[in-house]
Amino acid sequence: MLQDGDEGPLPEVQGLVREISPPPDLENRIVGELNRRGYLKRKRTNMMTLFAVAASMATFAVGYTLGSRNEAVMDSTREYALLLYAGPDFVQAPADDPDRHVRTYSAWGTDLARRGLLTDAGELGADSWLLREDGSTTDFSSARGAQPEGELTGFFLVRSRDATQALEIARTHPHLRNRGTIALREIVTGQTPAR
Amino acid sequence: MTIQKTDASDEQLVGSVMSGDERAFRQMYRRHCPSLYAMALRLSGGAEDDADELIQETWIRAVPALAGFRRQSALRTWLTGILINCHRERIRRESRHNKVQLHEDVSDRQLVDSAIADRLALETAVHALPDGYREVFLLHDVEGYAHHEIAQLLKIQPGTSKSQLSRARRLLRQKLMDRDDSRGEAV
Repeated sequence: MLQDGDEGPLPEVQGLVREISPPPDLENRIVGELNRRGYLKRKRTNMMTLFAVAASMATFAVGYTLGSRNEAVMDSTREYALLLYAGPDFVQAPADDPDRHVRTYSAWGTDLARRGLLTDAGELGADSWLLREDGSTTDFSSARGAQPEGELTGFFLVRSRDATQALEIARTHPHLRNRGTIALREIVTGQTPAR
Repeated sequence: MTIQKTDASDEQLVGSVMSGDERAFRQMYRRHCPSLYAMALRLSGGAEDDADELIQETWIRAVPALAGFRRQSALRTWLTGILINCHRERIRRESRHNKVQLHEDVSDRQLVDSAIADRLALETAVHALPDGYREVFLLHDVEGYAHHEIAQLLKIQPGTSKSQLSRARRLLRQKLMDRDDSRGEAV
């Protein structure tokens, strides 16, 4: 019921937007602050742990099995990268079995390695940077889970003595001139098996 | 094998965030923040920095208080209540320090979904409303809350909510009419 003299809602209100995207970096600032205060746990995720375990197991298995010159290896002439993401909907291992993913992923990798189908695996380090075509570089080290915009279209593995050199190399990549974005992460474990 | 699942409910997210799950928090944030941010931006008179701070303060206050979320209202309503409390406290702080500012220029902001002048004028007029009127107007006419919900959120009587809404609408109409008149004179 309207109050006396109230003509009801203004028609212009219908045109107002109800939702506005906050600045992209605000989420990470808030998560960082909540982590700092201990309200959230910056987990070393199961994903990270499983990479380490899978890498070591797979490397061992590849080294072990390469000697048999598996037929699959002989016939393999191409390599493909499986890039694993864990978004907000990712199902974490249950609290009463935190290593469940580690076991299943490692078993998967070991099986591939036995068949000569696994080349490498690695764990990504905590330090991370985002390079953009305008020359800017954002340090995402304290903002785990931050992702560059757009579709993942490729990757290069480069060798460098440290992060500074890796950033220098990354800045020369023509992808930036094409207005692409590059995420730079260190691979801290995993090693390419001897061929 | 699939390891994806459908969106968790607010209730599931609340439980996960209470146990410190960062991913669950990010999901909760992404679900509710666009609505909260629109509200924060309008409460802040269009000042983006103030809206950012308001949102940050809201979440930092909300997360440790989730244990007290009684589920008698929707999570968004509960979060909106915290947002408004944060805003009111800031207003009190700023008025003590005589730092209240009104950001009239909203032309380059996201507040309008097009360049339609009427909407822009309305945004500007909303910013100029007294705080209490603005809160009731935004909650009722923009966010769609009922008077009894607003009464709970703002800790006022439903009748007060109704009368403030009525006055807010009247002030806004007057402001828009003044603008139309001045525009007519200019032509």
